[in-house]
Amino acid sequence: MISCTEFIYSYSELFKFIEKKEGEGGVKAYWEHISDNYVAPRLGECVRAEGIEGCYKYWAKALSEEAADFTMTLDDGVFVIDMHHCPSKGRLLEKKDIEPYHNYCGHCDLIYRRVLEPFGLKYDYDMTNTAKAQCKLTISKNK
Amino acid sequence: MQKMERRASDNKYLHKDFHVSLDLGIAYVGDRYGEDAVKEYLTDYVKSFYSKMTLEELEKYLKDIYEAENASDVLTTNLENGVLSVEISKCPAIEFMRSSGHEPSRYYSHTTKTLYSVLAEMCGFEFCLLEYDERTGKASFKFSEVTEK
Repeated sequence: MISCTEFIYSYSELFKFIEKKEGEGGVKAYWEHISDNYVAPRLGECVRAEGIEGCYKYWAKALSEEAADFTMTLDDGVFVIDMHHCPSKGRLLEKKDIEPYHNYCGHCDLIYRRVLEPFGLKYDYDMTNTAKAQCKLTISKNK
Repeated sequence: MQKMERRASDNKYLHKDFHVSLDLGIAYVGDRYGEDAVKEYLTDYVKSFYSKMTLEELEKYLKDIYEAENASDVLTTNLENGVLSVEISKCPAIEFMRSSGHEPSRYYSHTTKTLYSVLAEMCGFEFCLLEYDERTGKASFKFSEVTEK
């Protein structure tokens, strides 16, 4: 068994493995597969049922279970996750003998955007500080 | 306005949905590239993630991950005379996946069969899988120190 507490390392290695087989395009195809088969039935259903408030519900559970260090707000149709320390990227950076997949954080941009934009939501993902395990996600209603 | 602030220390790191994510990844590799590719991927993973361990360290490692999963009760180990015997009465990952409506893929067993086989080889042990039940993940296996000839 690979413990769910060790999943992140296997995830990063999976991206490397797929890239070895099919290049970066192959990794993106995999992310699309995950988005359609894992994220859409979970986050997508929350948003279908509750609109942008479904984002708050989905990430409140996920980020708490992942023991993330974050501030999350929903105010006047704007949902923001200010990730002070991402537990996934943080673990990869802490384990010095592992080289994280070079675009590890790219999966967060694709797998959620692909689900949310068809609902008419604007998805803005600030990845400028991912090397410090920090990022900022802003989702808003298109006006 | 709704607001939630959490520090890492506020919660235990236990996101069991990752078991589903892991299985989806293994299934993707198996269906797209073949079952040997699942073994190849898990071999890559073992070599990148694990360090060489003694039998004592391996026993502690197993106890630690089952404790992390809140599943210490399913694991029994015995280390004596250079043999680490492991019995798992049911796999907590398989149990979770089923409870959440996800049927584990036909490749999932490689996270025991292949993973521990490669890990044993890396550590210089012999690995013997005595039992593995695909439905529940109930398993019995041994790691043995290789006797010098």
